[in-house]
This record gives sequence, C-alpha cells and structure tokens, in this order.
Amino acid sequence: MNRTTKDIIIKGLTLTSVLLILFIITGILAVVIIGGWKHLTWEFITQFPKEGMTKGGIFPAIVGTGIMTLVMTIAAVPFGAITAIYLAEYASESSVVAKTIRFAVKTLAVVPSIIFGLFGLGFFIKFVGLNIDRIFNQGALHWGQPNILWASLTMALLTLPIVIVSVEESIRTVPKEMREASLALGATKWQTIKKIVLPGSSTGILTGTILAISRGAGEVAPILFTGAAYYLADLPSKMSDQFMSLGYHIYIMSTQSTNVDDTLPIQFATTLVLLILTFSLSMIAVILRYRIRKKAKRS
Amino acid sequence: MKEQKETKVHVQDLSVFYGDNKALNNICMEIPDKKVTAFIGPSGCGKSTFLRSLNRMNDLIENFRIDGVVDIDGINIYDKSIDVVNLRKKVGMVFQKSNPFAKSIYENVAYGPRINGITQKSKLDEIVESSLKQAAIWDEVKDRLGYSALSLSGGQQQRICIARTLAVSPDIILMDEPASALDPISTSKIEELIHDLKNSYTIIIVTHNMQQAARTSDITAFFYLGELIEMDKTRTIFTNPAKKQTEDYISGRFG
Amino acid sequence: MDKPDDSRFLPINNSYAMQSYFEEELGKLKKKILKMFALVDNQLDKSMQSVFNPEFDPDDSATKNENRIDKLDVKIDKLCQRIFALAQPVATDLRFIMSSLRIGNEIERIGDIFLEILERSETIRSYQETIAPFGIAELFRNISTHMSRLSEAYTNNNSDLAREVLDSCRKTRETCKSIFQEIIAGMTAKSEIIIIATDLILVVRDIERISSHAENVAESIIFIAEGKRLK
Repeated sequence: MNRTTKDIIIKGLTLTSVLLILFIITGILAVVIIGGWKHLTWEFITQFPKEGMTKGGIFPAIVGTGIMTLVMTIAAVPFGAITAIYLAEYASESSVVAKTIRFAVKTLAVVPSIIFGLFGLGFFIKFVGLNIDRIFNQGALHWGQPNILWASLTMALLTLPIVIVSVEESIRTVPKEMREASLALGATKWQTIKKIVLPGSSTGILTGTILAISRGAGEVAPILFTGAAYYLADLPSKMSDQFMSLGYHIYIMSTQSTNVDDTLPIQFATTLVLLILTFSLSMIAVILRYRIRKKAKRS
Repeated sequence: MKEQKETKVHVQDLSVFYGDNKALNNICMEIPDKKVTAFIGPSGCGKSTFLRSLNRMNDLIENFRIDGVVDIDGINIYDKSIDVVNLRKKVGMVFQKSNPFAKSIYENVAYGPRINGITQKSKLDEIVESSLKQAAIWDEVKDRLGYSALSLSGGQQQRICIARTLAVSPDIILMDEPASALDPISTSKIEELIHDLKNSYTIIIVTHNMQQAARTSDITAFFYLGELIEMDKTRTIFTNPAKKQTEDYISGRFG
Repeated sequence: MDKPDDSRFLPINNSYAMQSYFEEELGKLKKKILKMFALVDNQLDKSMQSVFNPEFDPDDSATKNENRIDKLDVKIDKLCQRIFALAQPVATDLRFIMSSLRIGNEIERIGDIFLEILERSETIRSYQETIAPFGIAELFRNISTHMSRLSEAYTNNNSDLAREVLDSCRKTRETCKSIFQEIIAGMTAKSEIIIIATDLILVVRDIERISSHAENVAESIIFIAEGKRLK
C-alpha cells in the first residue's frame, strides 16, 4: 500500500481511539452526573448521614478527606522536596546513595496501594503506635490503633514517589547556566538553591504537590485499615481520632449497605463530589501555573 | 610612554586534568593588572578551561584535577585555606550565552550585593545604579528596573550580566566569549564597554574571533592543544609574531 | 571536458576554501609588482639607448610604457585596498601587502625618473667621446643589476639579498657623488663642454635618485621578511 493510504489508516486509527476514550469518559461522567446531580444539594454537603446511610449528607466524609489530605501533604511534600533537592543538586550521579534512593523511589511508585495499607497497619499502628503506648501510656491502647494520623502518614508514603519525581524533574529544568551565574557571583550552593533553583522550579513543585494531593484524595486501600471508618457521629477533633473518607464511603455504600436502591443516588452524588474535588484541584494547579508563568515573564 | 606593568595573576606550571585527559600542560604566564588580556586559539585548545581555572569554576566538574600554582595578588587560590566563595567575588565571570536570572533587572543586579549581606534599600539602589551605569545600560533600563531581565534583547541581557558582575566589585573580570552570540552592533557596544572598564578592572577575555582580540586587548596569548604557544603585546602578535604556529593561526592558515 | 574544479565549493567554514581565494589575491599582487619591475626595466633600456646611442630615435614607446606603469600602479592600489577591506590580513600577509603597495609606488617613481633621463639626454647622445671618461654606462649597468636583484629578492622573500642590494645602492650613490666632482672638474678645465656637462650632471643626479628609491624598495623587502623597519 502506498504512503498516503498508510497515512490515512493511521490517522483513522488514532482518531478512532481518541473518540473511543472520549466516549468512555463521557459515558462515565454521564452516568455519575445523571445518577447523582439531583441529590447534590447544600444539605447533602453539610449534613451528617442519617438512618443508616440511606438519607442525609456526606459532610463528615468531606471533612475527613480534607484533613487527611492536609496532613498527608504536610508530611509528604517537605520530605519529598528535600529528597528531590538532594538527588538533583548534591548527590553525584554515580554515588551509591543516589542510586539506592532512586531505586527505592522507583520501586515505591509501583507498589500496589493495598501493600501500603498493610505496611501502615504493621508499622505505624502495631509497631510505632503500640510502642508509644507502652512507653508513654503504660500500655493503655491509644496510639496503637487506626487513626487519622497513621492513615495520613500511610498515604504520604504512597504519594512520596510522585512528589520526589516531579520536584526533581522541575529542578532539573532550571538551566545549568543560571546556577553557574549565581556561583560565579560568590553565592554558596545553598544560596543558589534557595534563591535561584527553588523559585525557578516553583511551578513544578506546585504541580507535583497538587498531583500528589489529587492522588491521595481518591485512594482508598491505604486508609482501609489505618484509620478510615464507616460511620462516626462526630468529626475528628484530634490526631488520634478516626475519620470518614469519600472514597471509603463510596466503597462501603456500594458493597455493604442495607438498602442498595436507596443508597444508589447517594453513591453517585458522593462520586460526583469526589470527582469535582479532584477536578478543582487540577484546575487550581493549571491556573496557578499560568499565573506564575505570567508573573515571571513580566517582573 | 610609561608602562607600569604590575602583575595581577601569576600562573606557574599549571596543568589541568579531566580524569586521565590532560587539558592544559604546564602553563606559565603573568597577567598584568588593569589591562585587557585576550586568549585565542582553535576550539578545544584549553583557553576556556584555563579561564575557568582562575575563578575555580572548574571545581564544579567531577574528576577535575589541577597541578601547579595560580597566584592572584600573591596568594595561591588553590590553597586549602582559600574560601572559594570569596574568591568568586573578587574574580567575576561573564558567560558566553547571557544568563540573567528569571527576575527583574533590579533584582538581577542586586543579587550579588544581597547575598553578601547588604539589605539596606538605599545602598542597594546606589549599587544597582552605579553598576548599570558602568555597564553602559543605565539610560536604556532606568525606567523599567522592575521588568524581567528576560524581556531584554540579547545584547542588553549581556550588559545586564556584566552589571551584575560589577555589582560585587571584583578586581578581575573573566569573559568567556562574551559577544559570540550577539549581532555586530551589540558586539561593538560590548567591546566599547571593555575598553572603558579596563581602567578600573583587570579583564581577561577568551575569544575565537581574532579581530575582536585584536581590537580590544592589550596582551594576547595564543593557546594550542593545551599549551601556551606565545604571549605578547597584541600589536606585536598581529604584526610580527615570533612563532610560526601563531602566524599560521592568525592568518587563518589552520584552525 | 575537464571535471569542474571542486576546490572552490568546499564548505564555508572549512578554512581551506577561503584560503585559496586569499592566496590567489596575494599571488595576483605579487605578479603585478613583478610586472612593474619588468616595465621599468624597459624604461631603463630605453633611457640607456637614449644616452649612449647617437642614432637613437625617440618615439612614443617610452610614453606608452609610462602610461602602462601608471595604470598598473592604480590597479595595485585598488587590489591592496580590496584585500585590506575584505580579508583583514595580519602579520606577514599584512606586511607583504603594505610593502608591496610602497614598492609599487617607488618603482613608479623610478619609471618617471627614467623618462626624465630620456628627455634630458637629447643633447648628450651626440657627444659620446665627451661623456665616455666619466663612467656613466657603468652606473646604468649597476642600476640594472640592482633592480633585477631586487625583483629576485622580492620574489623569494630573500632579505639577505635585499641587504646586499641596499649596500650596493649606497655604494652607487657614493659613486654618483664622486662623478659629480669629476664632471665639475672637467667643466672647470674645458669650458666649452659646460652645456653638455650640465645635462650630464642632471642625468647622474637622476641615477642617484633612482638608487635612493631602490634603497627604499630594499628596505620594504626586508620589512616583509623580518618585520623590522630600518629607518
């Protein structure tokens, strides 16, 4: 067959797959939106669930997801950023330490999320938590059980590779010449990083953070046994409390609810809330990036 | 004509290695104070390597090794006790491709003084204005100091980089092919600038453009394959060089 | 049909392509200067005949030659200007072009002087016995030797030869001075030869001037090779 025909065939194939993907996404969105938008009221967002999850709202799940994500970010981002700075700026390419860290990061990135959950249970709860209880609480069970702190830390481990990789990549986009210019003016390496490299890679760092947050907000497996609960009468008020989460809520409702028909609209609405949340986060990332770039161009 | 020739930089038996590769072989030279010295030679002859050895920018390269002595004002800059950061304030560098920071013009020039601990706005204003004036670009940018340095043309950016270097008050300014990426008008502005600056600073410029070396420098040193072949007054090198290699290179018969 | 010469179509940043053009230009310059030498040699011949051959018939060939010399001088000037502007020559090339320019000028003036000799010698040529004792013919032969040796020194960039010619020219000028004395003594002794003697002195003076210009040519040749100015 001649080249033009091949061209047309390939164009056709790619177009078909794009349309297919769009169709599937639209389909999913359509199902969720149609199924849940009617239920998405102000009361839904601000009320507690009632009558065994068949009525009411998902307010505690929203709050729980929010707090968990926040703690997760506070734990993952600084730690990840520092690791990324070390890998990009200080470690020599051939050093054993750098190679080990990179290998660890790569491996961590492909570990199934349920494993993180198990790790969180075995390490944070059973080891760290119980030992804290033994040392500080004379054995009374306080920290040695699932709570929002352990769940957030577990989730932080999941998102750590994402943060490290995107921060390191964006640090590397800062041209070598700028670093040289800074050093040639008599700046120390740390001054150069602080004043030139980090500001220059702030977009990337921000994007990476937001990617991590979006991922963390939706994952369920890591928080399954480390802190998520099906129903709590109160909002979590301290780190040792358990919490409700949107993703877990959807899972529980769709598999274990007593009256599936009644809860179906709630499931859809919850899914919609989660989608809107993740989507807004991505939008914020895009807008922030745009704003920062515009600012850098002018002043 | 009285010629006070004080030596600013004295180099003795300098050899530079990248791993096993010997890039410079036993260079000995004296660079005079407050004059323009040009390094010429074909690509890969070691002139840039030598330049970067004078402010220890080569230290950033892995498997870089150095033998010999580089004395600036009588002090060996490769001595263990030397603070490299301080050295680089005294020996400034302007690069081939202008590399202003992604900051405003003001912040670019104020960067050096700021990292040296000067925070008082009035003092910084003074330094920024003085540096931009010395770099012959004050009039062009005085009304838009807050604009990003990246919004300027290539030639203007390069002058900002020069102003930035001047802001830390160096003694010596190293220039690595400062005009090679510029158009002829910007190039001649930079050359004018070099001519003005040499009254206050010792300038060392690496260039592959021989006419530029001939136009701007007082002393010219010809490098080839890591060796210093000849070094003399520029007018002597270009009218009656001592070595045939030098003659062949500058008349374009090789390289 | 010959294969077309590819050497001109080498990539521009390969220095050899530019070089063959530049060297061609330098070669052209050298050829033109040597042509100058040849033309002035003709003038020397004509002026010798004019002085020593009573049957000499002055035609316009000398004037035509003079025109050729002038035109060539202008061409040399233009060529040098072009090379300076376009090639920015340095070192030996620079000295070669500067000196060639100067040598061309000097030879052009030598040609002028030979023409003057030709014009002056109208009265002299009929009095061969009178002029014979003063050894003027020897002077002409010396100048001829100097000029041909200078053209050789220029061709081969031979500064030693140029130095020898420099010395010889100085000696020729000394000889001229002593011939002056002889002619003056002769005039004092035999007053009827005063008119001829006057012209003769002017001719010898002309040869002295030619010798001086030849010295300048020699110095320029030394400058090309050694970069030294002897003044």
